[in-house]
Amino acid sequence: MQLLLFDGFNGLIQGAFYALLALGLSLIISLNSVINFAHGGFMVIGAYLAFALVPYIGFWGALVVGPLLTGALGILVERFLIRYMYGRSDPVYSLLLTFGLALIIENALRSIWGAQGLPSAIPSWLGAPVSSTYFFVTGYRLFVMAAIALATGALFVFLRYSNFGVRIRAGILDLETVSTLGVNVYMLRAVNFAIGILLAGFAGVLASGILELSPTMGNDVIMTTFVAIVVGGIGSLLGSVLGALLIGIAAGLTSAYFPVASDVVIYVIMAVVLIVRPRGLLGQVGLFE
Amino acid sequence: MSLLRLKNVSRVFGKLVALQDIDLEMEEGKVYAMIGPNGAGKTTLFNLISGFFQATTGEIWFDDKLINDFTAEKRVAAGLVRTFQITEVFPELSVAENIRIGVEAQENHSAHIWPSAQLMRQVNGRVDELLQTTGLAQQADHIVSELAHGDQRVVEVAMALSMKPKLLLLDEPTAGMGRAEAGRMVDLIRTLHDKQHLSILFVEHDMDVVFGVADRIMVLNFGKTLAMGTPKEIAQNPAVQAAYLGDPA
Amino acid sequence: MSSRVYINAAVWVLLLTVPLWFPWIGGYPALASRVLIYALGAMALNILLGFTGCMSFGQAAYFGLGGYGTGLALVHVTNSTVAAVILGTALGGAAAFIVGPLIMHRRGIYFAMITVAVGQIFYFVAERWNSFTGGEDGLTGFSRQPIHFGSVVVSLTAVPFYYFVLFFFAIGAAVMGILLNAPLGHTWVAIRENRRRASFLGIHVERYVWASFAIAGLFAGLAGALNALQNNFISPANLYWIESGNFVIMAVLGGMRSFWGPLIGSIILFGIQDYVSTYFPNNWEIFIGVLFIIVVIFFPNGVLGIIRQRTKSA
Repeated sequence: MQLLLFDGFNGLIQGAFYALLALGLSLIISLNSVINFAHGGFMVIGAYLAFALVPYIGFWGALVVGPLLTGALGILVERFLIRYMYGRSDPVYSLLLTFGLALIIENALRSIWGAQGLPSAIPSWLGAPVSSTYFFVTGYRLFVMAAIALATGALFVFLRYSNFGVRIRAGILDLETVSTLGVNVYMLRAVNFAIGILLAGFAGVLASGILELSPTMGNDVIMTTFVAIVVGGIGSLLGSVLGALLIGIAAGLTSAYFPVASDVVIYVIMAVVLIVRPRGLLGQVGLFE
Repeated sequence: MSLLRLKNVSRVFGKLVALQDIDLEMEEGKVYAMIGPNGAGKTTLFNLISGFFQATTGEIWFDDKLINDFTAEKRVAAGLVRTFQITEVFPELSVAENIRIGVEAQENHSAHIWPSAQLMRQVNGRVDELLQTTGLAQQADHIVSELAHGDQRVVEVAMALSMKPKLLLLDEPTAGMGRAEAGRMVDLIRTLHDKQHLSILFVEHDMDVVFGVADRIMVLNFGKTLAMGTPKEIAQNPAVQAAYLGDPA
Repeated sequence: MSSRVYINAAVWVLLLTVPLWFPWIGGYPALASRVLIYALGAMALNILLGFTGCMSFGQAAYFGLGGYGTGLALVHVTNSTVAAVILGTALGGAAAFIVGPLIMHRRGIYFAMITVAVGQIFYFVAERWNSFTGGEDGLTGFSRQPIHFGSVVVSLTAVPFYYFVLFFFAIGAAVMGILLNAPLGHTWVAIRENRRRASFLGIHVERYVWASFAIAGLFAGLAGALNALQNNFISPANLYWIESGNFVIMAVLGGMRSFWGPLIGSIILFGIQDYVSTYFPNNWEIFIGVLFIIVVIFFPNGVLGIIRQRTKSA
């Protein structure tokens, strides 16, 4: 039973973590029409930034500065690289571009910090378990869950109630019409991209406290994130969250009962979803089909 | 013998009734025009006939076959071919290549791996024929995406013709064209009708085109048939005038 | 039209004489073999990507299957290198043929993701089925056997192996070339250019996607079979989606829209890897990434696309 809870809890955390990534990626796919293969790479940048910054500004400092720096990098990337892709009707080019970017990011990180896994750097009081029976429920893991829930909630509130959020949602539905209504679409796309990347960076900073950092983290992460989005349904933000939670928990539970299959179960789930319900749980018709 | 017959056809999208109780009998060898204000349901009806989506109720008969459940591909095979309002061609291929794809599809050897010389001659012969009929022979090797808009639409008509249609559906054939280009399209439609006795059904907004070339006109409004008749009858129909052409002077 | 004949002739002459001129520019036969093997895999992928317009990120599945098929054949079934290649290729092709109906209805990113899913499932099987496949450490215990031509026995050392690879590469290239120039190839291109229009011309698009996928899988399998023989080794890494990415990089760099593009891409990739990595052992992949991005943004039709533009405007 302990083992089940352990794996289930880990699965939930994983799911929450991927929910954050899937949300950011989904925003970028829906509004910018860019299939951002480098999304995992930005997460890893966030994680390494945290590792680098913590000795200077502490964990809480890194938690704020890391995502902001990553988001700033996102703005630069959007301005100087992604912009070229907007004219192209075939999304394969954006996928190829960001694929190349992911390659660069991975190797740049390896050049700077080496290929070895790096240890995490979180305040020790957070690292302590909350209860002795459930030793795996450390303060940090609860914190991560809370932070992710908070960030997700904040994002949904922002999208629902703020002016900018409304514009983003409208842009996701019909960018052309939005531009004819006088909205600065360049800015909209830039900021949306930055938000998505910022979320990835935030996930990275959080991850640095649990996982061992390595330059190849991005690769594992990006595929799983795509799986989450496809399962949840491309074009639906809520769907990405649900998809991520679903596969996270599924992977966790599979770990408990059938450990060898825990890596592949998410692909099996996705394959089944794609065959049986092609547009995912909450996806919309015709998007990227 | 009616080539196309619609009986009591409706199309509903959720709560929106796009088409209601449409009846239509179209004779072979005639040119029919479908007109009506924006939102009248012309494109919906067009899409329905061509198999883009299915009718909610009613029957669609083509060539004495009930085609309600026919997929788009099946309708094309049966001789019901359409062009699109937004020109749908193969942009990076040449005019001749575009037409060739159509001819090969119609001759049923799109999947051929090792075509014989005779087959190639047959295909090329038909491609040349179509290039001549549609006046595109000069531009055979030009890349379609580099052509003028009007010429691209003619290429699309040529592709539709390659399918040896029994009924040719033209979706706003002169859309986006200037006077000269539109005139050329009208001449083409007339040639196809007069010389090849092709049955044609087209949707149009340009009244000069409609009255210049149609044998029969069908007027739609709010998803229902408002009137149907010869150009003369339609021009004099008060309901049509009120709804569409504006009140007579 | 005739310029194409000259180009093809030139390519084959160069390929046939590689052991003569390649060492002069710092190359060696094993590198040439590797370039050809991956070029074959990339050309197979390009049937899907460049000609049919389908984003596939899962070609490595069939590449890997070809390798495992060949390795396992040599371990358990046969002593004949040629038979092993045929078996491996058949395995790759058969798998792609079976997977085809599952993927042929999907498009765009859905298509890409399901190809990845299939690849990852194969990867998982290869990694876990220790007893049969050697698991994580890969399959060993086989090597390329000498070929018997009647009484003549040819041992497949570096140079003879290069010609062995070239032979199968030629078969693959010839068949793919024939298909692409036939009406079948035209139909694939039509699907790439405008799916809806193709469908409305009465073309059953899904069936053609299936065919494209199966052919791509078959020749990826052939490439994988040769790859296993080159290294006398095959591992799950050859099935991983990153390996698929290599083929995509080659096809795009060299030129997605041209037949020989993937070969050029393979030359570029391995060329950069071989030469640049001596000076920048840790960072040569950054060069690839930067070059790739430049190509995608400014030269989407790759190196061959650039050359075509120049000759057109000349």
